[in-house]
Formats: sequence, structure tokens, C-alpha cells
Amino acid sequence: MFLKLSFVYIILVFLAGVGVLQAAAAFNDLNGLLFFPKKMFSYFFALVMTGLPLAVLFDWNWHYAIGIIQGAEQTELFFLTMVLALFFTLLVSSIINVRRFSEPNDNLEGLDSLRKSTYFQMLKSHFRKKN
Amino acid sequence: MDITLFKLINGIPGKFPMVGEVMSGISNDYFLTVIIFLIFVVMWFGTRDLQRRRLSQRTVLIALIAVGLANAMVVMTTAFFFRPRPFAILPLDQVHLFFYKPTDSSFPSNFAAVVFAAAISIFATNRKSGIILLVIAVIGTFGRVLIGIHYPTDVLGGMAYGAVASLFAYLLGSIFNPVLVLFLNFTRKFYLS
Repeated sequence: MFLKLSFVYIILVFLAGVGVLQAAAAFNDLNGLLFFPKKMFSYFFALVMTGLPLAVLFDWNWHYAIGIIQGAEQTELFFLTMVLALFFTLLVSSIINVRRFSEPNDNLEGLDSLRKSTYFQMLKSHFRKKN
Repeated sequence: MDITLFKLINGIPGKFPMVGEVMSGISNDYFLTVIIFLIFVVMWFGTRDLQRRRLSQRTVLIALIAVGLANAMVVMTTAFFFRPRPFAILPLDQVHLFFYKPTDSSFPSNFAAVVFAAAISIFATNRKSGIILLVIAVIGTFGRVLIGIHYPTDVLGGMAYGAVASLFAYLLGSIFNPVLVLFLNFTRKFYLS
């Protein structure tokens, strides 16, 4: 039962996490992290991706009347799943936006560099500089 | 006193069953905790100004430490202390239960400990997000009594655990500030903060 509950929980958190990351990236102008060129689509995508899992979580007790994921396990599962959601976002946005941003922007640092470059472009540039 | 207050709060859905149905969704084990953790993600990635973002990210790290400490404190307490749930003690016709029957200790409320640890830690440095989180925490913990799975003192105990955990996390954050800065610099180097 725990495995089944954990699996459902992971799927829901993953979807909500990807959605929230899109909303945060759109708000912060992190264009290199977005799946869509237009912010409006990103916000709509975020609304659907976050809203549906939250609706299921709200309804949780009616679907799963027995069994619980304890607090500490829930915290661990959440953060492991968020790491997965983040890697998924970095991967997909880097593939989608590879033609949109031709050259990595070296003038910006940290998260800000994802305003005009994809994550993989920045990573490639980072390791090229090191070598 | 505790039982009287429990009956008073838990009596609300007796008169308005819809309130109980809604609160069992809001105050279940997953809904609000996931929302709170998602707010952490927004604080981490969604702050535009660099200085404010650094502060938000440090606050999120401290809140995570506080949540971890609150969980640990609850686990340690319940290893030595067990208080039966209201529905296990009171006659069933006096309890309006809108939830499954948890088997772990009623005191302290793990839910209250975690949500208050998160909310107080954030409130210490970010008033706007902190107030939102505190409102969420108060509604959620009140709901735990309303749906019949905690006594008022359980959630008050949980709140106290959360407050102590966030205070300890704040102190740890001050003592080990260089470690937090190192972590933030490392993630910044790899374009994640």
C-alpha cells in the first residue's frame, strides 16, 4: 500500500513541480527554462499542471481511505521528486530552446544567465572555459 | 477544557456537514504541505532581484532545516509518549470524524509542527510570504481539530514544536552561515540559484 501511495504522490508532486517551475521561470523572465516561447502559454500550462494534482491531493481521502505516507517520508519524497522535476525541466527546456538562443550569454551569472540561454548551453560554456 | 474545546470545534461540521467535507480536503496530510513546499520552489526560482533572491533562498534553506528538525522532534516524542486520538476515547456519537482513523499518537500534531516550522521560518525574513504561510498553517491546523483527528492541545503542541524547530534552525543558520553561503555559491556556479 505504501508503495502505491508513494507512486501516486510522486506523480502528483512531479506534475505540480514542473508546473510551478514554469510559472516561476515565466515570472522571473528565465526564458531558457520555458517550454513555450509565449509567457501566456507558460502560465496556462502551469495552472493546469499545478491545479489538477492539487485537486487530486485535496480529494486524497476519498480515493485512499487507508494508508498514509508519514511526515518525514513525505518530506523526503517531495524533495527527491522536485529534483526530478527540475532535471526534467532543464532537459526539456534545453532541447526545445536550442535554436532559440544561439550563443550562451556570458555576461549574466547564476540563475540570471538562463534569461538568454538554455541550461545545457551554459553548462557547455562553463566546461569549455575550464578546459 | 481540552475535550470541551474539541467538542465545540468538532461540533461545527455536525451543524454544517459541508464544512467538514471541505476541511477534510484542506487539512488532509498532503494538500497544504505540498502547497507550502511549492511556495518554497517559487521563492527559490521566482525572485527577480539578486539580493532579494539570495535572501529568499537562504530563508528556504533555513525553513527546510526547521521542517527536518520539527519532524525529528515529533518522531522522538512519539517514540516515548502516546496519546490516543479523540475518536478512540470519546463515544463515537460525540465525534464527527471526516477522516480515516490514524493509529499514531495524537500529541503532538506532526502536521501542525511541520507547517508552523515552515511558516515561522519564512515569516522571520519574508513578511509577505510568511503571512500567507501562517494563514495556511492556522486554517490547516484548526481543520485538524474540526475533522475530529486531534485535540486542540495536540495542535497547540505541534505549533510549539514548529516554533522551537524554526528557532533552532535560525540559530543553526547563523552558526553555520558559511556552509549555507557555500551551498548557495555552488548552486549559483551551476546556474541554479
